[in-house]
Order: sequence, then C-alpha cells, then structure tokens
Amino acid sequence: MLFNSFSFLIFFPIVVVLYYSIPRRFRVYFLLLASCIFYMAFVPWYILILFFLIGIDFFLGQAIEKRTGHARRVLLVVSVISNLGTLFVFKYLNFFDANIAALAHALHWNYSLPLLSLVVPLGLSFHVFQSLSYVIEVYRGKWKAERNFFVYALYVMFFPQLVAGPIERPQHLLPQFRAEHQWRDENAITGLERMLWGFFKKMVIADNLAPIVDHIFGTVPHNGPVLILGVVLFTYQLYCDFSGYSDIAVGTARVLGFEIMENFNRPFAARSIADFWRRWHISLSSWLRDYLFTPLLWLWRGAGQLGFYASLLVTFTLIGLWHGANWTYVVFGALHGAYMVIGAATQKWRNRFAELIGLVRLPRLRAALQTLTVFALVCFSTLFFRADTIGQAFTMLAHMADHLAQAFSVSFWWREAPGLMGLSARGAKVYLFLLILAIIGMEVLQYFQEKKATLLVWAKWPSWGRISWRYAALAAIVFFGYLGATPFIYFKF
Amino acid sequence: MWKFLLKFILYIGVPVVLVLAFPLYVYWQAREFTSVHDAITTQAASSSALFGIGYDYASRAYKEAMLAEKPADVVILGSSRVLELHQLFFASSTRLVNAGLGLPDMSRLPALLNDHPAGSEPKVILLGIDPWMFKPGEETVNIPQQVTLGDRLWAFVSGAWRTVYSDYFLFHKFGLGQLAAARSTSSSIGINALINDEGFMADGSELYGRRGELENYVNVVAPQAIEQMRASVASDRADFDFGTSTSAASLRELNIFLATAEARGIHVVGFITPYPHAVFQQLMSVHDSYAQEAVLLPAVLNAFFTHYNFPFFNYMDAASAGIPDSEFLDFQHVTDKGALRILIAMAQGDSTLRAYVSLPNLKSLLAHTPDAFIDPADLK
Repeated sequence: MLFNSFSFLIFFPIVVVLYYSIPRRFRVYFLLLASCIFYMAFVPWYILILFFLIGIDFFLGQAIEKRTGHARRVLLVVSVISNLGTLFVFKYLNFFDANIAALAHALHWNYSLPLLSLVVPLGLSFHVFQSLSYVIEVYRGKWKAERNFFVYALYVMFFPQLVAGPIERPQHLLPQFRAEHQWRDENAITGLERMLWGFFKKMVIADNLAPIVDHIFGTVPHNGPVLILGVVLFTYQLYCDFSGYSDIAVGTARVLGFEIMENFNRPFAARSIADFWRRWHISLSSWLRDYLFTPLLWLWRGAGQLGFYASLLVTFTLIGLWHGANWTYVVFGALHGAYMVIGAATQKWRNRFAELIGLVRLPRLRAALQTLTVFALVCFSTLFFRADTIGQAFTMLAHMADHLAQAFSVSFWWREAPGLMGLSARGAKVYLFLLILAIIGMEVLQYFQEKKATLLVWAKWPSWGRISWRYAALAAIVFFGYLGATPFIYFKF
Repeated sequence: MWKFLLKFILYIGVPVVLVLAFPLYVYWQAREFTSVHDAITTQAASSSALFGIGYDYASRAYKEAMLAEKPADVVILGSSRVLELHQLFFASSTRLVNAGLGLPDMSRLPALLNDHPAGSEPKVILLGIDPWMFKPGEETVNIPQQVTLGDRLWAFVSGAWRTVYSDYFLFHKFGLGQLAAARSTSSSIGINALINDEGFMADGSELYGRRGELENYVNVVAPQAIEQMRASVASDRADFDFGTSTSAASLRELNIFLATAEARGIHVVGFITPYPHAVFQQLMSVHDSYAQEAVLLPAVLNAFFTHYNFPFFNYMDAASAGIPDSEFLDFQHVTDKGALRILIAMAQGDSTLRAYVSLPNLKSLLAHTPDAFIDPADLK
C-alpha cells in the first residue's frame, strides 16, 4: 500500500481508531495484523519471505543469547548468511550471473546459468538490515533476545517504516512496543503535520519533478544547461521523494504514539561529504558505520591510513550496491567513497589553502563555497544513480558542455528550455516557476528548522500561522498532487 | 480522541467539499456523468444530440453499446480513422452505425460479430484497417476507460476535478453562462459537445467541431503534422505504424472474423486507411524492411479477403483514392470530404456496397463541397 494512495487514506484512520480503542494487551497483535495487511496490499505472497526471515532471526537470536564462544559466532554467521543470502538471491543473483556470463563470453569460456525471473520483495533491503541489527546487537550483548515472536515480528514489520525505512535499532524500537501509548492530541497534531509535510514534499515537489526528469533523461537533449538542470532537479526529486516518505513514516508512527528515528537533516546544507552522509539516509549510513565500516577499520587497523581509506571505499561502494543491482549504483557508491577518501587525504592541504587565500577570515563565504561544492559533487553522483546505464551517464556528461552560454540567456529559458524539458502545454512556464518556488520554500523552511533545532518549526508559530501553513500545504497537495501517481523511488530498494 | 477526530473531519472535510463543489456543478451542467446507454437513448430521441464527454474516456464502451443496441444495415469498424463516414453518405433507407474506435485490436473482431444475435446482423461491414493493427508487439491499443458511474467518480476525485479548474480559470475553455445556455438549448452530452460542438453523432460518426475549428485543423494543424511525420519517417521508421513483419495473431483473428461473416451472410468490405501522399512517398523512397512491409501487408490482406470473395481496397496512399493532402485533419485522419472520396471509390468497385448508397448523390455532394470538409452545419 502506498502512503500516497486512497487506500492508505482509508486504512490509516481505521487503524488509529481501532488501535486506541482496543485493550492495551492486544495492541501489538493488532499492529502486526495491520502491518501484514499493509504489506500484502502490494504482493500478498511476499509476506512469506518476510516471515521466513523473521522466524530465522527470532530463533537464532534466542539461540545466540543462550550460547557462548564459538557457537555464538557460528549462529551469527548463519543469520548473516540467511539474510544476506536471501537478499542476494532476489536482488543480486541475476546481476551477478549476467556479469559472470559477460566475463565468460569475453574469455571464451563455456558458461550458462539460467536467469531466474524473481521479483524483489518490496523493502527487502530494509528488512534484512533491520533484522541483522537486532541479531548483531544480541550477539554483542547489547540487547536481550526477544521472547515474544509477535513483538519481534512487529519490530521487523511495523508498517510506518516497513517498506522503505528508516532502518531502526532494537534498542530504540522494541521497548516502545511494550510501553503504554495513550491518545494525546499533541501527538496526533504533530504527527499529522509531519505527514502533511511529507506528502507536500512527495506529491507536490517530487511527483511533479518526475516527468521533467524522465523527459530529460529519456531524450538526453544536447544542451548543457538543460542537462545540468535535469540532474539538479533529479537530486531534489530523490531527496523530496525519500525524505517525504520518511516524514510520513515518522508522522504516522507519532500519531500512534511511537518515535522512529530521523532519516534526513537538511543534507544539501552539508559542508563536506562526510557531513552529507550524517544528514542523508541517516539510518543507512549509521548502520553501515556501526556494522561494516567500524569492523573493517578494526580488521585493517594494521594498514594505518590505507586501511582507513580502504574501509571507506568498501563501505561506500556497498552503499551504492545496496541501492540496486546495476553498475550505475556501484559507481554512485564508489564516487562517494572516492570523495570521502580524497576529502580525508586533502583536508590539511585544503585548510592551508583556505588560510593562504584569506578564506578563513570570511567564514560565511567559505561555508557557502563548501556547501555549493558538496552539492555539485552530490549531483554528479546522482547522475549515475538515475541513469539507466553507465553509457547513458557518460553520454549526458559528454553533452553537458554544449551551449553552456545559453544558461545566461533569459530568452533561452523562456522560449526553448521548456520544450527541451518536455513542458509544451500552456501554463508550463507558470508550472515550472511554481515548482521552483516550492523547492525554494522548502529549503527556507528547512533552514529555519535547523536554526531552531526543531523539525517542526511551525509548532512555535502563532495559531493563525500554523493553520495557514496547513491549509496552504493541503491546497498545494490537493491541487498539484496525484493520489497513487508514482510509487516512492526507494520502494524498489 | 473522538472530539479530535470530529474536529479533524470538519477541518479537512469542509474545505474538500467546498473545493469539489464547483467541478461537480460543471460536471452536472455538462451531463458528464451520463452513461453510454443513456447517451444512446438520448441520441435516438434527438438525432442532433452529440456525445462528447470531456473529462473521461468511454468511446469504446459507447461504440460497443451502439453495436449491441442499434439495429444497422451497414456497420463501420475500425479505429478513429473511419469516423468521418457519416449517415449522410448513405441512402436514406440505410441504417448506419459507425463503430469507429470500438476496435482496439483484431482480437475484438469476432466478439463484435457475436454482439448481434442471428438475424439481426448488419448486411455490410466496412472494415477500416490501420497498419499498426498488424505490427507485431503493437497490435493493441488499450486506453483505460471510465464507463460506469463509479469509474467516473473515481476519475473525478483522483484528478479530473483539477482539470475543470484549470480549464475554467487558467485556459478559459468555457463560461458558466455559456454552459448553462448550451444545456438549456441542446440535448448533447458532455462538455466537449455542449461547448465545442464536438463529439459523436447519433450514427456514431464524429463531428470535429465548428467550421472555424475545422479550418484550423486543415490549414494549420495538418500541414505541420504531415511535415513532422514525413520527417520522422525519413529518420526512423521504427516509430511508424509499420513493423518489419506481419502479426500472425492479428491475421488469425481477421481470418476468424471473415469466416464468421461469410457463414452469417455478412458482406465485408476491407480497406486500408490512407496516409497523406507526402508521408507515403517518403516511406516508399526508403528501400528497407519497413517500406517492404508497407507493400507486402496490403497483398497479404487482399489474399485473405479474396479467399472469402470479399472486396479489399488499398488506400494507403491517399492519392490512390483521389484524396489530396489538404483533405487531412492531421497526419492520419482524413476530413469527411476525404472519407467521401473513399466511399465513392469503394462503391464504384463493389456492387453490394453500391446498393446502400446513391452514387450520383455522393458525386454531387463531392462536387458541391468547395472546402476541404463538409460544413458541420450541413451534417447536423
């Protein structure tokens, strides 16, 4: 079930009313049932795969806790293999097979392994990582194994974060299923406002950017300014789509009295790539930091700085691969790994250079330059994220220098550019202007969110201001959004 | 919780009702929710009523209902390219149903025959064939329809209501007074019919609007579209209607249809719908497998029709029916004058069809039509 669908608009209020109406001792089971219904609205039989993984990790968690020494490690490895193995079979097997076949063909080997026609169960990457964090925390002794199968199942399947995260940790989520949640108007208000903000980002900005981005990436016009704009717009589409989903997830959970972790924190305000990853898809980057990067760092501690760089490269390349079975995602991840390595290796030199040219005396200018540089590097990487193939990405790169001077021509942007972006209908210029205005408005609001250190900056506004923004956002969603028009981009991961 | 929920429902519900009220009013005024059956009934009672809903698509269901409900001597089947064949072209005693747009692909052909119980079938079927119907992989056009009231309401709630606002406030496509006046003086159904005089007539053929609109099509839209298509065919024929081979599945369905028609005593006249001469010439100037298919397809189809002693006419090149490129509305739809030329040519070549028209009247109509189209006022 999509959040931005009519069925969710019916499903959610019913779940909320029933949740708060039934006795507390039944609420976990009810939420689990609701989560199953939510998940099965996509493809019903996918749930069997989910319960397969839930069953394995539930029993393995208990077994790990009871054992000591080598046996614990073996059981952990079994869990890791089961989870990652399932992910590999559904998500990466065909990719792996196709690449081996290509290599065999190049080397004139006889190789034929049939491709499996398997469709990736929705949200599999997220479930696997969330399950693994539970098993690893139990193994490390930082969390006690869950004794109630239904509570554990709900931990994996809690519907607000079921399909696209945030990837939760057992310490944060599991205790909440045993806590008492009473109806509070304040939770409902802040939760609904958060959902409204998420719907605005997804339905007004992301979904309206999608056809423009699809057209530019589909036709690859030989025009540098339009191609560059296309990449920038996709970067915003990706951010608004995914952070919008996360906002809806957080808001939905809040209405039910739960707190789930934040996944975004104004990533385009980052002043370094490392800072970017502390702000973008926080649950994934922190998961990989805790469960991959840190162990690798420890493993390669003998290699000194090289070990550090290697850990970064491996971690970020795997971040890319996590997103999908395509070399474009690998390049996306590897690019960020390279950015991190180069950033770390050159930090001393960059600071000295900044001193030399007097930039340290102009902190705001320096911050602005850093932010723009990071944004440009991120956009460069999202070109590969969005492109269908590496070849397409390079084709677009090759044409990014075409007619660059037109970027400074008002008449170009007024007359020719809309056509190149697939906007030929009357009112297209007004539409594009409103879209850019919405993006600017979002960035301004987020700027104040960071300044006030609250993700609900409007909570401090007077009531007329709060009501006005609600109706304005609702009007924008109602007039410019389409129910169920496009699924969330991260659903396919 | 209940007090909060009540406040929330009022908070959201009242603005939603207010926002939807205007488009609902427009829908009601324009009779946009009329079912296809009610539309056919209205047109049976008032032959000048048009069916032209603007915010939904129900053309195929409308044509299928027409085939099932209206008795006919002559039925026209095909895509939108056959819609300009009007009742006016046939003898007054001939009952015509133009079911153009009721044929999404060849597999529907046999089923359309089954809509007629034995004894009530038409005497003649004119089957307009577009080459894409035999292009492997692209033989089907499946446009989602909004037929039932539930479909239309869902389409309305999902987004059509927004189009009403933009049509009224942004593009000024209609006025409320204009709509009210049209509703009170006409029994036409749908905003397109009421405002633009555009829609399906009682015989199922299409009226493309008033004189000014047709002049725009013929003088502005068509020349640009034809040149664009000609240039497109010159550069990449893969996007054109022809493939490099003929769909065996479509041929199978056609064969079943022709065999069934023969068995039930229905005379079928097949013809390939025309392309502008400039486009056809461009295709023929390129000696590749697409052009080859353009030559082979008519020959293959002709063999099928001949097998059942049915006539077949190849008007792929509009010039072969005497249609100049100026008698096109775009790169693939002829005007009704162009369609008239096709009918005259077919009637001259087929004695069975000739019995349902008056050739002298048709030739006179052609001679007395100075424009590239028949004046819509004369058709209504």
